[in-house]
Amino acid sequence: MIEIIIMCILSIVSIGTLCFICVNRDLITAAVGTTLISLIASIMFVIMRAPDVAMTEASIGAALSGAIIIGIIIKVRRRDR
Amino acid sequence: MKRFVAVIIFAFLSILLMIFMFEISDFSHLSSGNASFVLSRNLSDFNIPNIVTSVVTQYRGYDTIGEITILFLAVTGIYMLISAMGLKSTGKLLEPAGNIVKSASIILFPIIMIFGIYIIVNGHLSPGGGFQGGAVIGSGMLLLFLSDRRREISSRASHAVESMAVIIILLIGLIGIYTANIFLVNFMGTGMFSSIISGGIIPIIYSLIGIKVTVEFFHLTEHILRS
Amino acid sequence: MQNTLNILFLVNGIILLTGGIMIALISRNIIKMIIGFVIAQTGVNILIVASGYVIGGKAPVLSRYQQLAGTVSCDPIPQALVLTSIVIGIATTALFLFFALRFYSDKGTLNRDYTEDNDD
Repeated sequence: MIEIIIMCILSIVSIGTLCFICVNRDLITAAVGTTLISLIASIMFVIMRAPDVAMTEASIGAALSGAIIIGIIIKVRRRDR
Repeated sequence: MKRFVAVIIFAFLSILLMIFMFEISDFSHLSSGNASFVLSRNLSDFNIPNIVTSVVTQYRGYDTIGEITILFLAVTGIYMLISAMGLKSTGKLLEPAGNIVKSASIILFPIIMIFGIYIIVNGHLSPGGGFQGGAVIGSGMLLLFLSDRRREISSRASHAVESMAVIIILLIGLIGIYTANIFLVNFMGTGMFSSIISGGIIPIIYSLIGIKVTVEFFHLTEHILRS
Repeated sequence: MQNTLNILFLVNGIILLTGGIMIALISRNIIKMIIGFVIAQTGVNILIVASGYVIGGKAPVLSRYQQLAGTVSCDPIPQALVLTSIVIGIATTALFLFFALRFYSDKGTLNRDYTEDNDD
């Protein structure tokens, strides 16, 4: 029962972040939103009984992928769709 | 107007996909024969606690060798793109780091490295392994590079370490062909259950993969921040 | 009631997948296109791992020597495939971003509708 409540909250947050990325025009906000979606997916992998995949997604998908995206955005223009 | 039509089309596609997924999925029992085969024969073949490690290195070993190749190709491609861009690079330079990052990174880096080595070495006993631990140590080296931009790691030494790790993995696989006609077969005996020296060649291969992934993630992020 | 958790996994994976593809097709900036693809890859990984879930799968994928006879455990093969898929995803994302940087340094703009006619 507690798993269903946690899963509902995580679903609402991740779908809300997806809509927010679609509407906004700033690029660094979109990169931070991507990192947030990866972290929420990592928590979902624990609820799905997959601890190896959760560790991989947290360290590679959230940390390194977010760092690479922000590292490139700094070198180009930051706003404007 | 165009955005509205696109939203309608994708809502329709997602509802269609959901109906299709609910029709074909049945979650009350294991639905594939492969899973029962792996789960029943894991203890008698390899005698290690972590089933996902035995699937990644032994039952689907070719996929792991293909993945190592793809990572290597990506890093090589990025290096070639940088050297072809030459002097016309775009970049605004990054600002130097403040005092907090400089003083904290000196304390944090040994702790991160010990944690990463622990995850790599215990890959066959608990969730973990080469990829996870390699990403952790790679992020630690990125922190070291961000705190003081003049720090250099000699690129010839790191390229040599990475190449030697791949060559040793392929040599171990070829020894398998020599002894039992199967590539990457487990030719050493399996030890006690749940001790560090157990499971034949599985800890050796995963540790070498961990070393290679560490060096590659560091090169990936260093090229981006330095160009 | 038993199936609610699985319905939530599938709904979340499908919405992330189609939403990510939609962001990639609508946007005019190249880097926003790349962010859409990253979100779509995350959605696909969630779908693959959720397909191997068994209701009441008590033990995760660690076995103990005495308990393996009685317990039901979840499917380990999709988890091994998703481990590979996450690493390949970051490799292709890094190359894609580097091509976008090269595009910006050659032409000075990040618009994907750039042609040589309206360049002056």
